[in-house]
Parts: sequence; C-alpha cells; structure tokens
Amino acid sequence: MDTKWKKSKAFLGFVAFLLGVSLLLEGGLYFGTAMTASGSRRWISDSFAADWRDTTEFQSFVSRRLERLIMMGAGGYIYGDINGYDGGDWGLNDTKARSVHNAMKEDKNVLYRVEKEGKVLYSNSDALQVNMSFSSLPEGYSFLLQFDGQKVKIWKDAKELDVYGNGYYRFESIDESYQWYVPGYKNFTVDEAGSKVKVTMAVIDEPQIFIKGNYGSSGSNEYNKLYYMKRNLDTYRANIIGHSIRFGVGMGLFLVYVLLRKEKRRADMAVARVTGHVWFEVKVLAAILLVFFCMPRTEYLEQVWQELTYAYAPAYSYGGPSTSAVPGDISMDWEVLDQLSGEERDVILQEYGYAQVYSIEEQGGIGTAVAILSENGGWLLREYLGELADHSLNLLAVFWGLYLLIFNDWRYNKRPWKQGVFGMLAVHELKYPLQKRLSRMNGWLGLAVALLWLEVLALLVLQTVEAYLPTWAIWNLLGLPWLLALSVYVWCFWRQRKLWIDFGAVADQAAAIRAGRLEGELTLQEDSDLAGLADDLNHIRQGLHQAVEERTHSERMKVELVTNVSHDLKTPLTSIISYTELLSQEPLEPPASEYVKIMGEKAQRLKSMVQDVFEVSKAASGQLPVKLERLDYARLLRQTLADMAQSIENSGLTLRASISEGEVPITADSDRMYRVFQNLIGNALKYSLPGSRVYLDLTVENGTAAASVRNTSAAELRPGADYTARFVRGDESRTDGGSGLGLSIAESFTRACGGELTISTQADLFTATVTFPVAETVC
Amino acid sequence: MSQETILVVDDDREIVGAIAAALEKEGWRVLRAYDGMEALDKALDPDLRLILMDVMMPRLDGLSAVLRIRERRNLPVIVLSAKSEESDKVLGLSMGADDYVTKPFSMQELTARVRSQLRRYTSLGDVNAAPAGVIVNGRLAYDPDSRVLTADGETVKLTNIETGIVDLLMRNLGRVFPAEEIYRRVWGEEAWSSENTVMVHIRRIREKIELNPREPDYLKVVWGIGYKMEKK
Repeated sequence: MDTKWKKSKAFLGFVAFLLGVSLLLEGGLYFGTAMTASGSRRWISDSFAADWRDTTEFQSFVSRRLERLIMMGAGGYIYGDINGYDGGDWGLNDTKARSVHNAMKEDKNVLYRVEKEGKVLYSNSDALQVNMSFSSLPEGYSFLLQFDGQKVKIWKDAKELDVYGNGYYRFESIDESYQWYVPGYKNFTVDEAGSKVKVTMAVIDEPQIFIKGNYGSSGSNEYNKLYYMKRNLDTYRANIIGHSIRFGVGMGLFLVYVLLRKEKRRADMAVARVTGHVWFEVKVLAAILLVFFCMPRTEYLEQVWQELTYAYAPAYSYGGPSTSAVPGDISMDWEVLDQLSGEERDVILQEYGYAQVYSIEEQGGIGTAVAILSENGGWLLREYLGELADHSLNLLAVFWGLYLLIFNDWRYNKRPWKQGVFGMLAVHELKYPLQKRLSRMNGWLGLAVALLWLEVLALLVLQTVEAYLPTWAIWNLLGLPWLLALSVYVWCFWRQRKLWIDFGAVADQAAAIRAGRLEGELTLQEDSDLAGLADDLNHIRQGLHQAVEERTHSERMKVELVTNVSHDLKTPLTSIISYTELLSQEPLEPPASEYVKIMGEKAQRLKSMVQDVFEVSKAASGQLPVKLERLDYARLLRQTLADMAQSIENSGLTLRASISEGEVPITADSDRMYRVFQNLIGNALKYSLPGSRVYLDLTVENGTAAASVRNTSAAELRPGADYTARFVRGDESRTDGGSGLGLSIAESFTRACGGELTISTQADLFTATVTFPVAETVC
Repeated sequence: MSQETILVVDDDREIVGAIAAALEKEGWRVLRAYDGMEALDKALDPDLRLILMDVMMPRLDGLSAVLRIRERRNLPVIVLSAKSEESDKVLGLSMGADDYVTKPFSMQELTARVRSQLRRYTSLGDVNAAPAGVIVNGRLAYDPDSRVLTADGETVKLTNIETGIVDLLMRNLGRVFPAEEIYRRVWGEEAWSSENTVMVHIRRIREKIELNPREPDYLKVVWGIGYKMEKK
C-alpha cells in the first residue's frame, strides 16, 4: 500500500509538472505576444472597461462618424468609406453625401440629424432634435452627442461628459487614454462651413446586426462595425480571462510539482529507464522530425524573409534611365527570372539585353541578411512568437518530445549514446572478440541502413523543394550510399562467413566431447574470433579426459581393493569355518556344543556377507559381468517360487502369486535375476508381519513388464528411507537376518541387466517392483 | 597295503592343519606343503593319490605347480581358491585341475569331493574305459539301455520319475528343457502347473548325485528358461 501511494505520488508529480509547465508555457507565450503587440495595452484596457462606450475604440468610432456627418453637412469632400459606409459612386459632394446617407440611414444603431443653417439635411430619426434633452431619447438609446457648430456636448446615461478637459488637444500615443477627436478645443477649430452645421447623434446601447440589400447596385452589404467592435471586445476579454485562469492553474500545478519534485524525480527516472532502451539515433531522429514537422514551418520563415528582402531591396528599375534597352525588347517577368540559376539567367539576360543581373545578385548577400536581421530582429522574433502562440499545441508537442527524448534521457541515463549504433561500434563494454565483432558488424550495418534512409529522406526533401540538381550530383546522391552500404554488407558477409565456419568446428567439438570422444584437438586460425572459445573447449576436453581416466583408474583400484580385501577375509574365514566344523565333530559337553553351533552359523553368515559385499561393490563400479539372454519373465518367477517353495512354507506366510500364463520375454542375465527375486522374496518372508500375505504380481503394460513383490512389514517402515542403499534395513535395531545388502544387490543386478528396481512404501505396505522392457518376440 | 596319501598345499598353515585333521579322520595319510616348491618335492611320494592345491602362494603359485607335477605324474588335483568368480574357476579347470573348491568351504563338501576324485582315480581307473553306449559326463555315467546312473562308479538309486528325468537330460547333455516339456516327456501328459512338480524332483535328484546340492555342478536350473544337465 505504501509503495502504491508512493507510486501514485510520483505519477501525480509528473502529471502536475507536465500539465503545469504546458499551461505556463502556453499562457506565457500568449501574454508575451499579446502584451507586446502594438496597441495591446489599449486593447486590454478597452476590453476590461466597465462600459463598452468608455472604450477608445468606441470613442474613435463616434469621433469619426461625427466628422463625417459634419462634412456631409458642410459639403466637404467625401472620400473612401468611413466607418463602413461608402458613398458608392463618385460625383458632386452633395450627391456623394446623399448616397452615403442613403446607405446608412436604415442602420438604426446610430441615429443622426444634420442641420445646416436651421434646415435639416440628413436625418434617419424624427426623435432627434437640435438641443434636445437627454430624456427625450428613444428607448434603447442612452448615448447622445450634440454639435452646435462650435463645440460638442455628450451625454451618456443622462450624465454629461467632460469632453475637452483643459481645453487643449494633445498628440497622444495610441496607448494613452483617449481624448475625444472632436472640434472645439482651443487648438482644434471649426472652419466657416463647419460652423453652420449642427449635428445630433445617438448611439444604441446594444448594437444590432444590420444588412443592407443593395440589389440595385452592389448586392447585400454588411457593415456592422459597432456590433463587431462590442463582440470583439467581449471575445478578447474572455480570451484574456481564460488564459489567465489557465495560467493560474498552471502555476498551481507547478507548485504541486515543486512540492512533489522528489517523487517526480522517480517518475523521471522511470521514464528514462524506458527511453534508455531506445537507440540513441532513433531518439535524435525522432526529435529532429518532431521539430521539423511540428514547429511553424520554415516556409513561414521564408515568407517573412522574402517580405523583408522585398521591403528593403532597392527597387528594380525596369528600363530606367540608366539602362540602355535594346530595341525590340520583350517585357520580362521578374519572378520567373528570379527562380532561374545564375547561368541560365545570364544567358537569358544577354539574349534580351538586360543588364540588371548584378543588382539582383547583390540581394542575397550575407551582409544584407545580417543588416536586415539586426534591424528587424525584434520584429521577426515577435512575428515568430506570434506564430508559435497560434500553434501552441505543436509547440508543446515539440517541447515535451525534446524533454522526454533528449533532456530527461540525458539527465538520468549515463552516456545515452552508448545505446545504439555508436554503442555497437564502441565495443569496450564487451568482453569477447566474438561479441565485439558481432556488435561492430551490426553497428556498421545499422549505419549503412541509416545512410540509405538519409538518402531517401534527402530525395524526398529535394522532391518537395523542386531544387535543381546537376546530373553528377544526382548520381552521387544515388550511387554513393548504395556503394557504401554494399561494401559494408560484403565486408560483414566475408567476416561472418569465417565466423560461421569456425562456429561449426567449435559446435562439432562440443558435440564430440558430449559424445565422449575426448581425443581430438580443435585448432582454429589464431586470428579467429572463436580462437579463445576453441582454446577453452580444448582445456575442458583435456580436463574431462584426465578426469575420466582418473575415475576409471580409481574404479579399477577400488574393485581390486575389494577383491583383495575379500580374498584376505576369506583366508582366515576358511580356517574359522574349518575348525568350527572340526570342533563340532568332537564330543563336547552341552554348553560347549551349543557355542560351537552358534559359531558355525555366524561363520556361515560372515561368509555370505563377504560374498555379498564383493558382488555389490563390483556391481556398483559397473564391472559386474552379465550374460544377457532372452528369457521368460513369467517362468523365471514361477521357477523362483518353486525353488523357494520350502522356505515359503516354513515362513508361515501365504504367498499369492498372480503370474500370467503366457510368455513374457525379456532380455536379462538368468542367474542374476534369480538372485534378484530370491532376495526380494526372501526379504518379504523375513520381514513380513507373521501370518500376513505376500503378493507377487507380473503385469505387462505398454511394452513394459513389471513384477512386484508386496508385503506388510512387521516393523514400522520409515517413510522416505532409501532401502536400496547399502546396509539399510527396515528395522534399524535388527541385528539378525540379512547383511542389509539384499535390496542393494537386487537393485545393482537389475540395473546391470537393463531393468529398474523401484521401492515404494505406503504405511506398512512395502512394494518392490522390477520392471523390464518386453523383448521383441522375434529372436 | 600302502595307505592312500593326499598332499595338501596352502601357505596358510592353519588351513592345512584343518584340512589334514579332517582327512586323517577319514583314514587317509596327509602330506603337507606350504608353497609351490615344497609341493613339487612332496609330490614325489609314490603313494600319493590326490593333491589339494591352493592357488595364491609364495615362491611358486598353485596352478604352475600343478602344471609341473602333471609333467611327471597324472594325479587328480583339486584346486582351492579364494577367488570365487566364474572366470577363475574356468581358468583353474583349464589348467588341468580336476575340481575347484572356493574358500571358505565346508569340510564335509571337501571330503566328499576328495572321496569322489579318489574313487574315480583308483577304483574305476581310466574313465575312458567305460563300456560302449554308456553316456559319461564327469562323475556321472548313464547307461541308457539299463537306465542305470552311476556317480563316481556307484549306482545311484532313483525312482521311476527321477530316472525318466535323468534319461532325458543325460541323453541331451547341455540342452535346456522347460518344465512343461520335461513333464510331457516323463509323465507323458500335459500339465498346467508343472514347475513345482518338476522342481521337487530335480531337487531330489540333486541330493543323490551332487556333492553340494546347494551349488550343483551337474543338474542346473537356467532361470527363466528351464533345466539342463551341464556338460563336463
């Protein structure tokens, strides 16, 4: 649980960092560009003004409209379109003014009344009067302006505004608070024509869309300057607020990150572990592609550049006074000419007799570029930042791509370039020449492939740019990488061919050693990468050879030792047995004769034990001679039972045999197998619970014949005891009976004959099973 | 009449002593030697009828001594050895020994073997002088006509069934017969459970003809196959 919390904290820190920085970056970019753009301060104060009619934008609109209305009344020259309303056709001043009036009179966003010398010239509302009071304004209008020929009076929401301040109009920079651009200042006068005009103007509270259908002339027109002004101001304000909120959230998240920075470090490291697996080259390439595709394009920069160069280039002088045009000149499209290479251009220019080539050539000089950049660097940067702000998602993608792929990766992964083609080429971390060789080869092959990819990329770029390339360059571009890649491949192939041939020899040697052929020495060329391995293999082979020889020798010694020991034991034993026998033939008193009898029995047991030890040790060393022949397993068991019939009867136990009648052919040593079952049945008779039953079964299944002897032990069986181990008996405290070698001998003999003896115990049930593969019925 | 003399050779004086005691009790004269060279000297005794020879001895080993003695005299030799393996036995017998007894042995068996060898050597004389038609196999001789089996020249008393089994096996020396076949041939009828019956009779015959019925030399069981008369 603790680690889970830790993990989620790390995750939280990481996400907070990611989102926080994203938002901060986006906001920073927005404000950075929005605040530095010209007039932005005015825009901000305008958009946050409590009343949209207090904005500079509105005031400027009203001032311009007033100027037009005065001019319409004074008969001034109406030019262009002012505030969206065009006079339409050119003509006499009053005609023009009339047509303007016609165009805008139905737009009830602004009501107006223009009088000249007491006569109403233009009006779109009967509600307006000269010197009217604010209270008589129609419903929905609460902005009133009156021009009496000299001065302007303005009411907003029934309150008269102070229009002139200290009476002087100042030149103002655009960012300062606005002064009404209306006549009536001490330094802003009215001419005689103007002084005869009286204008009354009212502006609606909530501007409406108005569309004029001028179907008789230019079709429908939409000049809703006022409406859009209000809307833009709202949008702008919403924009700023939204960005501010996001910026604030970003700050908060950043704070969270700062608090969790230790946990975030762990997340960074986890990310770095993942990116650490990626090839360095891939990461760099991905970063480059990311920058290339996600950042505002170079196309854009190119445009900016062109604009700059055009703006600052000295004007071309078509056939100006300095040029001497040859008669019959054709006019030349300079843009087409510009795209031609220098040589071609020279040809064309000579042909057509223009000598302007030098001035064009000078345009592209580095000096000019530096000059342009130094003069316009700030502007250029701002433009670019604006472009970035418009594509903030792209910018974020680039930023995070670089952060994860490059920055974070390089911060936590030591020497990230080691993972990749260069890592493969710089093989110092690898130990063996073969590893180094393979790594290096793969590195070179990777480089070759990368080269081909680069070529394809270059071709793609050239394709899009449509650059002109001479033939030899194309041939180089096409041929060189392929030639290089081919030679790398051929080199790798040649080296690897040597490798796999050598590898075959080494594998052969390993297989030979496994098969037990320990004589042949493996020799490879000394400069072979596998020479070390071959040398190791040779040493292993030698060591193994020596070990096998030593083991064979020691086994032989062991058998010899046992043979000698058993021989040495037998000689005194012979005397003991012989004299005991002689003694037993002497007339002896009862206790003495009893003693002699015991001595005789024990001497006999000692004799059989010596013989058993001898046989077991021989069998254990694998030197037991066996005479394998085909025999009938079922008959073997029946014969053994018949042979032991007497002792079975004497034991007082019942032996239940279940042996199939048919022949069960196996391949084994007849005498040894008799000993095996003599021992197993003998054991059963010796150790069974008195009066219990002993079972002997022979079953054939899946080509395997299994004979099992099952009996209930008199003594408690120890689970897990290895009964085939030498000198192990069911009842450890028992001193009479067998040598403890019975099962061991049975096991050794069975194995020597190619069979298997398994012992299993379940509670006091003891089962010995001897399995043999059934021999083919055809001899 | 000169007493039948037996030479006992072993480097272990106690064993020689024990064997001598047992043999003298049977009424034979015993010469003792404790190595091969000494055995060569003692073997010159004209009354010598049998040699008991140990194999591993200092100065001259038993088998070499047997070869040297055989150069001068044809005497039966029983080899005594602690080596119990089949290959040792075969080697000993092929070097000219007439019998092979592994140590440790029972005195009873040894005296039985000595008596057997002496009888064959002295009473019967040359075994090759058996009448024609008689099947001779080592100590055993069987006359198929009279259906009489002799062991060391003495007639063995057999029941009818036993004679039938001996007849079958002696006529086919070395051949292995499964119990059913023996039963069919001897009893003249098929039997499902013949193994026990045959085995009982085999054991009885062994007690009559074998010197050590526990380790038979002649009538052998080939486990998992059948029964046979070992060819000597």
